[in-house]
Amino acid sequence: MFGAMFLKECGQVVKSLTYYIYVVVFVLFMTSQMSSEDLENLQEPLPGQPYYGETVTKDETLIMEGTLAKLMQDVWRNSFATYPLGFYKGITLTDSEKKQAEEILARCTGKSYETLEEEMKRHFGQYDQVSPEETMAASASYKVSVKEGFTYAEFQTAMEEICRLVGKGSSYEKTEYENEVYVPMTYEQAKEEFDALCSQDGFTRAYMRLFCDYAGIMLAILPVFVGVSRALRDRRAKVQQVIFSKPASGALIIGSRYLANLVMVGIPVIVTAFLLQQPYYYKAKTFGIQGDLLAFLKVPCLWLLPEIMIVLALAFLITEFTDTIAAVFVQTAWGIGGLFAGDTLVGNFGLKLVTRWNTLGQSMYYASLKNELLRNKGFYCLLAGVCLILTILVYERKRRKGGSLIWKNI
Amino acid sequence: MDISIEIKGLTKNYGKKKALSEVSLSIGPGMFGLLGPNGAGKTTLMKVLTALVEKNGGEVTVCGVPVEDSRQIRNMTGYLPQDFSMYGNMNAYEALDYLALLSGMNRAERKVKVPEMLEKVNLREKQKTKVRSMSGGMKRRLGIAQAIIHDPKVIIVDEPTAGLDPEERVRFRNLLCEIAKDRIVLLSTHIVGDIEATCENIAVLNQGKICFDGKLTKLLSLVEGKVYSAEIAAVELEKVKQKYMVTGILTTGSTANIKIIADDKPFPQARQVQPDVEDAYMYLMHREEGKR
Repeated sequence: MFGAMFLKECGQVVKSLTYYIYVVVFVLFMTSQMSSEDLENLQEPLPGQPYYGETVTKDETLIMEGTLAKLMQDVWRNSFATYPLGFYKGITLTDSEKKQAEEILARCTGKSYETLEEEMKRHFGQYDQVSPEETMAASASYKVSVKEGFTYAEFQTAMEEICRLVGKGSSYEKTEYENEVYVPMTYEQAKEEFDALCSQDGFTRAYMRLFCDYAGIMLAILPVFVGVSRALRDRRAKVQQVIFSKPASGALIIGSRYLANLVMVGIPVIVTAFLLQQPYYYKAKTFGIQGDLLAFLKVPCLWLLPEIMIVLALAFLITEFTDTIAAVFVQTAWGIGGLFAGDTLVGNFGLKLVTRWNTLGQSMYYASLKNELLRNKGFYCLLAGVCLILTILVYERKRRKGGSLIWKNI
Repeated sequence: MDISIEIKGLTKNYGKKKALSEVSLSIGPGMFGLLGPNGAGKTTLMKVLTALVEKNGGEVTVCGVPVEDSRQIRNMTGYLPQDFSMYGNMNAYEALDYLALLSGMNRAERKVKVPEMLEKVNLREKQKTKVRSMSGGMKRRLGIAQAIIHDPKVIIVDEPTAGLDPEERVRFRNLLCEIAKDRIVLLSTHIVGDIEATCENIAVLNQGKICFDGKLTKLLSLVEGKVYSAEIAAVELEKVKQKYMVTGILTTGSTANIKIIADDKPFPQARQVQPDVEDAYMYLMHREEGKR
């Protein structure tokens, strides 16, 4: 029974104009973003190259310098980005808290806050702040030296104090600052990274992570249109009463609709991933590596399926509850808000809806973050399940009430 | 199986508005007509019987099953709502197949029943017609097909002939009579002609209350000897209308042939005529109005 309903619901999705708009927008976005430049640049590093890219440093001095530089800028702006439950929360310190943060900076560097402020202004003054490239270069090269004899343990204590001031989920937690400071790679590091890309990821998995980074941005919003369109169709077509009067359970009706939408939204993602993966699969062969042919299925299923699940489940829940397109606004705000509030383009998954991996490679770093990613995805799968159960309950309630829970029923 | 609908002291409120008040009815197999003006509470009663709205008070059982057991009720009832429609992009076959699936029928059953029902409602040749291209009559026929496809013991049809042309209306009424064998067909309407042509037993609902329940002949007996026909000058019409209940007017030049209800002979030239259901219904409504 469920299978037959599922197939009929897939048919309903296929006949919807919203679905085709979704497919076109998604495919156009992905093909325009996934350039072949990465493929052309994919070469085994050779000794003596001027630049090998960047990597997360484990050097304690560099971690301290990079973190203090970030802290100095945050204190000066008095604006701290935190993610207490994975969602963005901006923090502004009170005057006394700011004073404490300035004292912590002074204790770490051996310089007064005013001196640090002057040095920072002097550094940034050398760059053209109108140009985005110059601004990025200024931030990347800005470092704050620690005072002589200042130990890493003292630094950790100081950062714990900062965390107490700004709250949970900031960049000053140990797990964050130890993975956030980037330095140029040496040949050996680049070679090690390339070897990991070949052996652990077989090229295709790494490329699929980059694919998921871009696709994740679109899929934080686009599926909501498909979901809302389906959930509103009964009301628009005036079939609510007749469907309500049928013996089929709410679980069968909502479950089959949800699964059909999930599968139909997933199909263009998987097909696009498969097509875009092929050049990398063949490139791997030129290096004598057996690429993972099923990466187009495995990686998007892990990275994107939970995201599509929650977006659709929330779309169904809000639409069934309100009988309006409110879910579109809620999801757009969540998707765009989360994206712009993101503090990094690689890693730091937390409970963010859009998990970013805007790089081809960093396989070893990814391996170290895999559990965090699994926690994130597991959370959203669970949340989607809860939303779906709530949708079924709302649907059954509407059925007994004869229609909308909010609007007047005739 | 006990084929009956028992309603005792049914009450339904929408906020402060009383849609149904202490409604009691007993309905047996065959066609049963529920008559009443717009806003009388007919649709609300239909929805209570199909477990689409919850009642506030009273007891309602359908074939011995209380309406609170919504799953069972849905299994044994077929419902044609007032404004039946289906997804516009489906054709007649797809729409009926979809609703048959929601009625719990498996593939093999649907394969037999869907064409059979389309045949029964005379839509077999139009099975590829999209719902969005269907006329009102075709939609209603599709609606009745979906209501009976799972062979329910009770079929509830809400204002099924509203908006249909006379030919479609007659065809639809005949269809309802055909399917009324061995089951209850509860026909709700404000069109007296539909009831007159199809139902032996009726109830009249007004302002959420039952104001008549019984056989059609009993309703007609209310106006027995009280219906008169007369030819009067057209200019007299307004005066007559103010004094008597006029149920029919046919104006020809300066004269008007009128049908009126009166307890005694209204004027010498008036002659007593056989009442019809419309006269009885009008009389009943007028009497109810007087009570208020």
